Amino acid sequence: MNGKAVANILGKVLLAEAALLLFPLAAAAYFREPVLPFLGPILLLLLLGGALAALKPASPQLYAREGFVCVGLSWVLMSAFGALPFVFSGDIPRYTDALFETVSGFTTTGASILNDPERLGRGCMFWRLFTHWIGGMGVLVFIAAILPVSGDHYIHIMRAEVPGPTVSKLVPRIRKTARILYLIYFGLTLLECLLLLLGRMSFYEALLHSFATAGTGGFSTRAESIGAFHSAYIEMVIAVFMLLFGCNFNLFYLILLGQGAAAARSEELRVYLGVIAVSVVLIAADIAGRCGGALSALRYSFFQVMTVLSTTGFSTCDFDAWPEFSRWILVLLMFIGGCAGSTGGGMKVSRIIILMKSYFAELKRMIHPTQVKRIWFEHRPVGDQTVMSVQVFFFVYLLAAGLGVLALTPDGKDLSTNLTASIACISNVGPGLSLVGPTGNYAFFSVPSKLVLCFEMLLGRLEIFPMLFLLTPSVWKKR
Amino acid sequence: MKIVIAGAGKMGMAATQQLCREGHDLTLIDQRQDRVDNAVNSMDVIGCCGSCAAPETLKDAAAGQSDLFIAATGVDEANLIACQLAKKMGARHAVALLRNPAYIQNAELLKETMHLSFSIHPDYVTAEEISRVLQFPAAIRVESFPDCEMEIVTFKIEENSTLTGMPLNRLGTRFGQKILICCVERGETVQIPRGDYVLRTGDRISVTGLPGALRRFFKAAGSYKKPVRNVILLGGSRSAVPLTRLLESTGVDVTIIEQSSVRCQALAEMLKDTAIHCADGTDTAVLQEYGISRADGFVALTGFDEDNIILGLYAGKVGVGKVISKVNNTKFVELLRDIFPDTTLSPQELVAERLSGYVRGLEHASEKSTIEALYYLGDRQVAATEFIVGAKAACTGTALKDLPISGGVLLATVIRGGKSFLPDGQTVLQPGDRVIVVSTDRTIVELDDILSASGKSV
Repeated sequence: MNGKAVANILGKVLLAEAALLLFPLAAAAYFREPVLPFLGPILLLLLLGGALAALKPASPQLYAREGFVCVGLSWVLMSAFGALPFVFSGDIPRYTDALFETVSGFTTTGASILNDPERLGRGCMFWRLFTHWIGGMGVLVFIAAILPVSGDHYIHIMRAEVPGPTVSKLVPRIRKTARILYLIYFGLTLLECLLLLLGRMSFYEALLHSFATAGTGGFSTRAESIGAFHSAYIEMVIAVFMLLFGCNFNLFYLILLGQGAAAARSEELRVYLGVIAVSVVLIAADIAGRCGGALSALRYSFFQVMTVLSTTGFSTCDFDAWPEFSRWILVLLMFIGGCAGSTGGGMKVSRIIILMKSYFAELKRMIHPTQVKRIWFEHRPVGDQTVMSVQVFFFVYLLAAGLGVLALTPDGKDLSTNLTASIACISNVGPGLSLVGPTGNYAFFSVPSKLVLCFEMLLGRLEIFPMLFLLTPSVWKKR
Repeated sequence: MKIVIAGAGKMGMAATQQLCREGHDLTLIDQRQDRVDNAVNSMDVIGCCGSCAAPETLKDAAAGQSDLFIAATGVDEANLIACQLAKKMGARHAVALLRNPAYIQNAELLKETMHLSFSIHPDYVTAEEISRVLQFPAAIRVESFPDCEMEIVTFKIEENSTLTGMPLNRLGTRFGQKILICCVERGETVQIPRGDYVLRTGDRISVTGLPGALRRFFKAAGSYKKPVRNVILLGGSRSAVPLTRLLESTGVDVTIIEQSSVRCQALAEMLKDTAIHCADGTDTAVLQEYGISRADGFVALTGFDEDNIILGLYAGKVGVGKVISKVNNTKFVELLRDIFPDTTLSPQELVAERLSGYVRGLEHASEKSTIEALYYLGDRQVAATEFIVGAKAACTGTALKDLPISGGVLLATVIRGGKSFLPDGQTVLQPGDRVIVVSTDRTIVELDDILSASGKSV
């Protein structure tokens, strides 16, 4: 393990976080709130980050192992320090609660322990929603875009942080790739903010909700989430942007290059849109009776399907009160999540496609044992190694979600609460059903349960392995 | 610059590594997924799996949008087809690696009909380099520039050499020779020395001058060795043929020892007057029999690095004056640098250097200056670049001593009207001159970059 090189990167991460904390600090100053809760953590981060970044490794080489450890530790550290402003300002006095809120923010989950978010200071509120934006694209990708890092082995870090079964660069240089990704991210966020302004949202709320949508997070400045605005226009704008942020960003790059046709041929995109269409229609048909008319049923259904499939977690109505059929469809969508290379969570559409295809391939192989068949995805054959790691991922994902439920049982809540809390956290959705439904929150869980859920959120955002590696002794061995 | 390289074999990887380090955007094509994965995991490049002679793969790799396409697979025909396709798709320049002597003989014709920008012949490049070093046995490396009599020779200061302990500014009075020391490699550090620099035993110094002057300098410095007259080539690989021809044209006797009888027959057809023995050259008794103790040069050219290294050491031990071992594994070259007493050559590195020089030339063909050739000295930390002075260059018309030339830069040679000379303070550069600039600064891509920042604004 190249400890110094890892420490160096971690130092850069902390410095970047210090820089990013300047934004909520500015917001607090603008709204004439105390800036000390932000200044303190910034100084702390500068000191620690500066010390770590000053470590000069003998060689800058980061291999796969260092990549995983870097990413895992960065996210844990970022969350640990990111929670401080909430505690210092007194908005969320208990550290575990603040940590839960921050982890939920960075991992773009959107699960909250706040009964009444409107009570929060505006600086803290800015930071709370801004964490979604930071976590959506990933802070290590951000560092690659702005700081001079050796690109030779940075791909390992990128792979560990960017979701999807296979991660590739858009252009030869990692730095340019990271810049293009952030530029697209930034542009789409800005566009959404403009469109929300047109819907007569205040600039402050439009910006914050754009952050939350872009990261597919789901925190809101309002207790009733997007439903509080009572505007079909705002709901549709946000729903469409949730759809966009759930798409693979490579497609936007293709479109920017004028290769829209190639983007439209993407298998993942087609399945993603197909899943949306089918779920929207099924749920709309199911709830049409109770929402007064097909049109409003479609409106609620589309928004809710998008919020769950993109793993954002906004709400416009209490879908916990919907019929069982619709509720279960939403739970299934939580597992699927967004596309690979998007800011969404869940298992990713591409993995589900590969799993389905390997299921059919296995069927065929059982009937015709001699037949040789490769699995094709995105118009090219998928390597056996990829198929296998998708299958293992699927298993570990379900295992983690299942064990998560087990760990929540001592709190004595019902199965539907525990189950959906665990799934909603590992899939980075946010709201689940029953007590953790759109009208509830996670405040009632005990401290150990909250820590379990924090771990699940990080597992989900980093796609399981970086976090598990932190707990694997062999990774820390010298060899 | 956007560069696409087809073939992630040893040649392709060495070129990719070199060009990637120099800041170009590289896309690498190979048929084998594992090779592509390996490249992408260890370098900041993008990979693409498929046949480089298939338009689909080239499209995937965006070869049509590239500034330069380099076909470096092991198959000549694939290289030629890939270059043609890439050119047709819109690549600005295409370079093919060629190994088949039949193609190389007609390289000019191929270049024209196949629309190649240029073709590079690894075996010939290697042969040329080896023959240059054999002419200067005291040297570790010898670089010559096209159409220039000056050479840059790198050699190690041996114990009890008169050079030990001598400051550079006394060289002229002591030896009275027209030579210039342009780079000194001491341990890990490489630098361009000033006049008060004192040489030490073990330094590897690069000296430029006319061959005659250099020879006299070597003699005076006590590290002269006679040019080799009698060379044993171990292994009749492809580069053995051009090497033998080059050596024989200068009157050197060549003995080739090759294990395969089929290959020996083929060699005997190509090389009429050479002594070719079909025997196992890894057997020291065989080497003795064919006169290793009488030879003053030994070149190990087999396909096995280990054989080349070990037999090279053996040849040195039995007293062969100059030993050269071909080492394909570029990592070995680095590892051997301090252990192996003689010259190791890696065809991959030579080719990578040629390509890098070509790329620099393409990139900076401006009105002010053009890069003609580029070589690396001192473990690649120092570059010797040959520029043609353009009409608009800022450094013309003023005596060199009045120009604000930045530190770490040395004008090693000026070539004017076919004559080469060492510039001094009074020299005034003229458009059309060719200048060889030695520098530690990799950002020097134009002649005017040698001027310090304050000088450029003037």
